[in-house]
Amino acid sequence: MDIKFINAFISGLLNVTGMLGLSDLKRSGLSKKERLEIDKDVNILLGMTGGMNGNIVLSMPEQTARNIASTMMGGMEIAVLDMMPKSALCELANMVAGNSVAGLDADSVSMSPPTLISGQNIVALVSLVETLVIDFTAAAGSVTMSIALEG
Amino acid sequence: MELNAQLAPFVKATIKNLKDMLGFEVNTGGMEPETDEFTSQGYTVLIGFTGGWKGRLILDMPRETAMKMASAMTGEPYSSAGDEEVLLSGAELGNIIGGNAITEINNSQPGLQIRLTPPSVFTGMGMTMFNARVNSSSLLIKTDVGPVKVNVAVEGAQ
Amino acid sequence: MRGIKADGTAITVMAVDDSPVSRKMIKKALEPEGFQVIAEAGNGKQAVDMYASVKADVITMDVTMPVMDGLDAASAIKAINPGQPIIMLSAMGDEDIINDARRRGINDICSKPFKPDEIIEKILRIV
Repeated sequence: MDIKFINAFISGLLNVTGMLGLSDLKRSGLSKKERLEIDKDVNILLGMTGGMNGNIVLSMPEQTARNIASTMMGGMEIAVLDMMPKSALCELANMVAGNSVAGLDADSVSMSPPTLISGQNIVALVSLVETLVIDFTAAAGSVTMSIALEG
Repeated sequence: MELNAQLAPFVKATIKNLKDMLGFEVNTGGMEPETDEFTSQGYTVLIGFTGGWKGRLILDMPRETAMKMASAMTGEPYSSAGDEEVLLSGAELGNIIGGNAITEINNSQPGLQIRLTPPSVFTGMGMTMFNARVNSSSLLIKTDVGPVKVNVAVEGAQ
Repeated sequence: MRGIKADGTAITVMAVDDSPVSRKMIKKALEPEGFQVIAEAGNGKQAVDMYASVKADVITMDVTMPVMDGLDAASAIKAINPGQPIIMLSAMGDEDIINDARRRGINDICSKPFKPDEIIEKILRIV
């Protein structure tokens, strides 16, 4: 996985969160895993086909999800992660994926609509391929972006 | 309620595969409309699609059903739905059902060129799956090993 | 025991599929009949690399796999040994994929899910 690829996803996320008012978000970690696994309570998953075939997942604790949605929605207090904040988070994932892929000039990548999966004690297996895991931290909390490309 | 055009091919492929591959007896209920949020029975396989239809397929079942389904596929017993082979069995089932369904759709409507994204499998407590501004439809299939819900959401579908 | 040849030895199989569960299902279908799965590969590149040292009577080849897909792997193996029997196993039966498989010399196609009898009969027809 080359550095150009990694940088496209890091700057994709930072560009979008910066525009949405989460300007204190910083990259706090970068690693590779053998597979894409998830153990957070809120996950937004988006699939890609075409020039890039795989999945991107943004994962975070529920409190972080509410904090980020609140910032996106102009500081409105979010007591419950219901339809409005969930829509905001799906839109965030859409923009991050779109912005990242645009930075790669990959051929004809199509994306499936984002799905937000939430619950408790989630165990998930998204992919068995090598996965790029990028951690971000802000006052709102921590966010992990996982990218698994099948080819 | 009649099955809509988006759900029907996935239901057909699910029934065929549960019967042919796993040898289960199946009974189907009617179509149930869902909101933009789908509530899981505990174990869910999710596959996105792109092309002429943008959306996703969910195959959802209780954890116990998932373990029994995986056992029927591999011949081995399982004690947790989070076991890697149980998760991989769901992914394979999703690949086969999704692949069969979109093959039929693409062969009958060549312009659509639907493609599947790689499957993901989730298990947990109180899980919900949310898609912004996309309502979905479900059909419950009763099998020898428990209920399996087929749920399809396509952007812009009726 | 349809997997045993006239000389008493087993028909050998290389199973290529990115899903370990799928490889297990292939074994579950074939081994009770005496076939021997002597090698397993998780993607097309592994299969091509393995082909240098492992010769099986038949290769079952999934299509959609990471790193190198089954169609390219089949072409690479047929370039080394045009006589190597290969059966494609896939849930994706689009006509263009099937035509592509035929052009690359893949001997037969078995759609997923396969019934044990179906894959066994197809193997016996080409080995």
